[in-house]
Amino acid sequence: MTELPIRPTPALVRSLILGLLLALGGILLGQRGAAVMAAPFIVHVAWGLFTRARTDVVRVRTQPRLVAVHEDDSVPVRMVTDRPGWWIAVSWPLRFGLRLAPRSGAVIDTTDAKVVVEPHTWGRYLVGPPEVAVMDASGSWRAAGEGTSAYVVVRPAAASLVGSSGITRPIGMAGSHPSATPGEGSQLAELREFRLGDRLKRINWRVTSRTGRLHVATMLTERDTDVLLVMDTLHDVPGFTAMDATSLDLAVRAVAALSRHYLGYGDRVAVHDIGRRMRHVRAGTGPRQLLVTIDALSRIDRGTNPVFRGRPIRGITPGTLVFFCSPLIDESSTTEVGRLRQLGCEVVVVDTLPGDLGTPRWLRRRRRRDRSWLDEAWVVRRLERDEVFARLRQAGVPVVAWRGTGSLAGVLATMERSRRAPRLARRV
Amino acid sequence: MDELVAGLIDRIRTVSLHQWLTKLVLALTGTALITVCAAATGAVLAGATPTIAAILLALVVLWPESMATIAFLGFSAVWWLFAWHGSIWATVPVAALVGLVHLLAALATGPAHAVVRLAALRFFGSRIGAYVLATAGVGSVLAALTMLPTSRYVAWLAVVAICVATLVATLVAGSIDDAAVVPEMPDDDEPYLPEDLA
Repeated sequence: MTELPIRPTPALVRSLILGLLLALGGILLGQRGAAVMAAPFIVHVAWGLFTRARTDVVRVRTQPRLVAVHEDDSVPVRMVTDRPGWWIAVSWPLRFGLRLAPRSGAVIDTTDAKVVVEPHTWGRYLVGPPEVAVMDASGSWRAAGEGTSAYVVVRPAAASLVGSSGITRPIGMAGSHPSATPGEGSQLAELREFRLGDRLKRINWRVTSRTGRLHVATMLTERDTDVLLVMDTLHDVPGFTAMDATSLDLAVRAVAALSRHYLGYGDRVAVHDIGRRMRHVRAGTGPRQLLVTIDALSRIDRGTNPVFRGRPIRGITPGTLVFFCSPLIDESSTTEVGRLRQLGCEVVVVDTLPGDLGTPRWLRRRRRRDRSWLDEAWVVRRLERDEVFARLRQAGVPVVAWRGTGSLAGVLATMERSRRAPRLARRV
Repeated sequence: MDELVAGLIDRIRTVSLHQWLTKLVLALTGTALITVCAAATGAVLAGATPTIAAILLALVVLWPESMATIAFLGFSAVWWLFAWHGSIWATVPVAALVGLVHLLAALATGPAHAVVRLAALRFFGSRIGAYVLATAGVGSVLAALTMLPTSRYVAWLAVVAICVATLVATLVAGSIDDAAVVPEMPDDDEPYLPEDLA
């Protein structure tokens, strides 16, 4: 809440001066009309005295001061005063990334002035501080100053990922992914002859009646697994225009979609940011973990990252499925991918560089007056990245560009198929 | 000078439709006042006086809270008083028109790019209407008092009494530091209420 001091307005001073001058001047000069001409100013002063506030401050309050919404939601922000019968003028400053209704962000209303704020995308937004003026009905008294800002936190939408789980070797205890370990599960492993100790309910009577010998069906256990989503926020590469998605936007959307996808399978999902813009989210399961992840994503600071060295990943279990969301323009990111692979993790690189950057299409779209040496530099950088991608693929790390929720479907299906593919068994 | 012109252009460009209408009403009212005063003017100052008034009015429309407003109102009042030699009752509607310009200039002080809500428009309309009626009423009473032949001194005494009373009341009201009760606003978005901290 803010307290604004009440001051007389120039209108009241005008009324006092003109009223006195006309009345006294009329007396001195003998002008009867001057008395009549002083009437509006005398009435105005009397009105001002009548509506004068009994205290010397006006209190104004911003409602709400802190709110969390989802993307595409709008927030009505109100400025409320404690003076019924007074009118209020509010002017909210325009900020990049926020749309205001009315567009100018300024409203004049009685007692309660409302402006609707619509953020363009996820993130934290400071709305304000607004310029506020509260005036009485006669225009004689005014309180003006700066109001309190409002904070709007927009949670990124967690879209549904298209594709299967892609888990080849789950390392957990109980879950929904078929493993290679025989046990009590729902997926058939093999049909073999009955041995001592086999459960009677596993006897397959159809095969038994055909072969004349007892056969049982052995099943594969189903397990959950650990999934680690790594974000590389060391650099935020911009898109074609200021309103296009940056590499940070693409990484956030990829992580949100992947979190939802694997938490839906019941797996344990953790999120790590090597660029230190986001806090580490420890492994967890269930809908609560999704809320925690989305909340942590929404609090990422979009400003310039003061961190130059990445935060390495520690304490990772071999066999963890890792999705590394990065534009891969920093050598430390590529090194980290290799290190994770060597530790025995299944790594999938999700390329979050904005789509057209450094391509011939990008160069064609750039206007001549906007061209600079950076455009050609990005072309060279993209060629260098292609070489890095080739090396990663040779090392068994698939690289997929993030272009929406269907981007990973192919890779996940391939990984799923490789689980069922025959492997060379080493016999001692 | 360049900055002044740029500021003026920017000011004109960012005015909202609602504020344009407010300024239009103010301009039309001021023009009506100039027209009424010009109708009573003699030939000697016919050209210069409306021109000066029009310039002042333009400044009032652009900067309602500046000295131009008091200059325009004072100029118009004096112009009428010296130009009109007829019945005093004709001064009553002119005084009401002066009051209307004065009040519109007082209320047209919000942000130039602001949108005026319908509730505020109704609020202003009712208050302005009541003020104009009150001004006409008080002006009529004062005109009637000055018309009474034996009450010349009574009328002047009434005028002086009103002015002195207004001045005194303003000074007294300004010096009083009242601690009257103001309704408490419920702080439901504050983490603690004062009672919780006690």
